[in-house]
Amino acid sequence: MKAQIEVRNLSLAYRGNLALKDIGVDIPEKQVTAIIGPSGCGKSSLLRCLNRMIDLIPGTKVRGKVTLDGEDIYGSRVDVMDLRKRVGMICQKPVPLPMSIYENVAFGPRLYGVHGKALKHAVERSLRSAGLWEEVKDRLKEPAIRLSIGQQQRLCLARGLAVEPEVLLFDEPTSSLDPVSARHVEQQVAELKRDYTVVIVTHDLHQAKRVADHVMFLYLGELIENGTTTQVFESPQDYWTRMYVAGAGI
Amino acid sequence: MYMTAGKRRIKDIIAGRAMLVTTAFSTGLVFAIAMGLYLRARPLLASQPLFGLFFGETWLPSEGQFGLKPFIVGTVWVTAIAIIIALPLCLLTAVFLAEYAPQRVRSIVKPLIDLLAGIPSVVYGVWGILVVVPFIADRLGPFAVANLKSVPYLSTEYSAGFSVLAGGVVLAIMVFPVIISVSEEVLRAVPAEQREAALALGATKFETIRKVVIRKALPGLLAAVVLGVSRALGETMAVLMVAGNVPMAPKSVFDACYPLPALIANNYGEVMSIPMYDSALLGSALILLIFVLFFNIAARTVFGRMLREHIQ
Ligand SMILES: Nc1ncnc2c1ncn2[C@@H]1O[C@H](COP(=O)(O)OP(=O)(O)O)[C@@H](O)[C@H]1O
Ligand SMILES: [Mg+2]
Repeated sequence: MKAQIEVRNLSLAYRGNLALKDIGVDIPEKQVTAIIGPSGCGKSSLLRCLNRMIDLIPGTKVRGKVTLDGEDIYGSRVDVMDLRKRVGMICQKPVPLPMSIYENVAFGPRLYGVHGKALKHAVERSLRSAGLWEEVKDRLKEPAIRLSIGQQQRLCLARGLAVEPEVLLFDEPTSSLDPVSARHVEQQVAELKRDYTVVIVTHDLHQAKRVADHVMFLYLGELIENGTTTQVFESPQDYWTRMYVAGAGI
Repeated sequence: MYMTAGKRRIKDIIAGRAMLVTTAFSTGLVFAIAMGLYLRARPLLASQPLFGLFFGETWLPSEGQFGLKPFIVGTVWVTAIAIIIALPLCLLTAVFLAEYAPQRVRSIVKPLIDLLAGIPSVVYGVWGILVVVPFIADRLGPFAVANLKSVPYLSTEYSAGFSVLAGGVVLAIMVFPVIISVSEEVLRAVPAEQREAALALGATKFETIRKVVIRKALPGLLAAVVLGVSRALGETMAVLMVAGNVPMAPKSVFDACYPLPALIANNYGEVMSIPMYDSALLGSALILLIFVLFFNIAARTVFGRMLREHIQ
């Protein structure tokens, strides 16, 4: 199995406070990798290191190496905009941009000069992949803010898909949703792995078990355990992993 | 001791009422002023057709001719020029301060800009006479005479410098602080997630600002402009000093003009022996007030609806 992203000796500090310590992990291509761990252990931080959204926070210091298809993403020749096109990110709280449903999805492709028929197709295709097309196809011109929260989250997914990324990062994508919408989004995520490499942060262990092929357990900024979902949940090697997994009653 | 629910409710009611009274007072004031102006202007309004007042070209009070068109047109021109100059500059400055300037630069520049708002308008007027007027008379005017013969609104045969353009420039600088300050606050209030959402799709910083931040801030930016325009419409002193005050509707930005506020300030209390003169001046004050009110309401309803339906 090919690793699309390789993380080596990755450490991260926020103004001197170490948030990630010496992380090393392979993220396999076209699989779902879940990052689990208690709140504040560095899950979001790790995710943000993978598409350099971490650069936006002043005072952060990244050490170590992250490669995407063998190329160091912190290398001096890397175009950050291009990296973020290749590694998309969907956040915890849906953030519709201040424009129509259609324009939200078209936002990314437009940046890359897609227009006319091709743009229309890209929007429809993305909305279909996000499982939202049927619900919004007659109201594409309405402001995106009028959608329900669950629909907004799928809109954000569609928006992320529209730029044709290779990797998708999800940061607790269902935690602000009601159970039904959450299930809906989760199903979409599970289907995405046919075409994309998916990394999903979740504090819901049941969700991790349902969608993930691989699981990594972070604790206090360290990677404690890392393996297939079955390994981590059925026969955890580390004491803390055992405690954490047991706490959820799995 | 806990306060009883009754006591707390009474406090609640008193607070609510007090706020209602103060609000009613300040809104009432607008109507009271408008009413007062109307009553004083009524003799003139009753003696002449309204159309003649608004569109009459001739201002000859001694002969009973009170055409206000030159003044109305002058006001609109000067205000329009001020906004055309101020808007792009203010927006760029506000974006720079809100998005690009380091904290240290912002903390120096913002108070300076706010200070501009505190400079008395007569000082701007003097500056206009010493700098803007000569510049137009010696440089821009001759340039227009030589090169802009066939350009509408810009062609001229001669400019003394005291002109619509001078008024507009001075006014633009006077509305800078309010538009910049409000716009900057509004831009900074746009949530960080909005920026992140765009950046995460691979947008550059500039694309993010242009396509997302400014859009999100549009209602607030609109409020900033409305504030600026309202101020510009009524600003008197500085404009009066540089606009030339010739009661003729300007045909070019190099022509002199005579905005409504200047008309009132220059003449009220002077030639009150002429019948209807005082009516005419208070009538123009009423027109000015209605202008500002109408502009505010129109901006809020028309643009407000547009924004709600297409963006937010
Ligand atoms: N912007 C920030 N500035 C400073 N410290 C931060 C910032 N974001 C996160 N941290 C710290 O880094 C650690 C990991 O945070 P985070 O990655 O958000 O954890 P998780 O997503 O697992 O809850 C926490 O101790 C948190 O306080
Ligand atoms: Mg988090």
